[in-house]
Amino acid sequence: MDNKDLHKTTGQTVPEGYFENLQMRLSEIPEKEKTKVVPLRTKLVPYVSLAAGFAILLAVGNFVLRSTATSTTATSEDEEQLYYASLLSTTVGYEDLYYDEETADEDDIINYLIESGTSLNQIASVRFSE
Amino acid sequence: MTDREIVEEYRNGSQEKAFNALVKAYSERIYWHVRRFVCSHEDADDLVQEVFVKVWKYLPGFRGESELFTWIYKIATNEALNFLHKQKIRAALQFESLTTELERKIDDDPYFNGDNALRLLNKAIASLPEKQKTVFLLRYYDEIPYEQISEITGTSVGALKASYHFAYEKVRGFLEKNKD
Repeated sequence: MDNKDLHKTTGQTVPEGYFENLQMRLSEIPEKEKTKVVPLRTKLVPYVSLAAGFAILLAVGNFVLRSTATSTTATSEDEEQLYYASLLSTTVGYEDLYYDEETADEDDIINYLIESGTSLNQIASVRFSE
Repeated sequence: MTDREIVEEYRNGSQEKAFNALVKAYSERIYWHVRRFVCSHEDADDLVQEVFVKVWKYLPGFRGESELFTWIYKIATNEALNFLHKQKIRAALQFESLTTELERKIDDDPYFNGDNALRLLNKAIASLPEKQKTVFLLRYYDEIPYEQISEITGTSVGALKASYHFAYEKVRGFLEKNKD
């Protein structure tokens, strides 16, 4: 099919020189995609999740052991402090990676819900129940 | 450069050269294809870029089981339908329908030089359900054979023919109902 005939029957037009400009912009895609920088936050998410998982496992394990152990096996105060210090090193500060100071407005929330596949009914029920 | 040559070029290591040939061959067609779906130059401009970003991203996985032509059209059609799906939800949140939203875009389109009959035709197409709209646009405007539309949409040829028939009747009915 001839490209010149493609829009004849819709009456739709484009700005002067649009397709030359479009081709130029599209040709830059490979270069842009190569130099695309993955945000540090995205890179760190798997590692932080793993660390958080371990921390939760340790905490749960500790809770179970403590609740099932007899009173004669209590750890010393120093050991307890050391244990919490080791937890802190993997947990403190990681929440900063998830939250920045920008606030999300209603459009951001709706866009997020749409992108995440939430149904219209669910979005509407949350939005209009406020 | 033919589709086969473009794929060969890409596999021989000249990825960017092949991509540029692909852009040259398809950018205008894909633009018009998505423009007919979304009824707005700005939206079509954004979408066509997203389509080619995906083409570049997924080209390494293109195995040649389908034609390059249908593969690109499949990406473009999916992008356009996803866009309309989001528009539909946004419109519903404003207590409007997608058709009303698209009709407004058709009326306000600064890049339109047709007459009222053409404007009405565009509105008739905008009012079609998703599947009927897809087959109507691919068959009526792009003149793509049903067999290839079947590859693009993943629908059987028989179902496509039925959808086209219903779409055609709806468009005709819309035009008759709204003339003058």
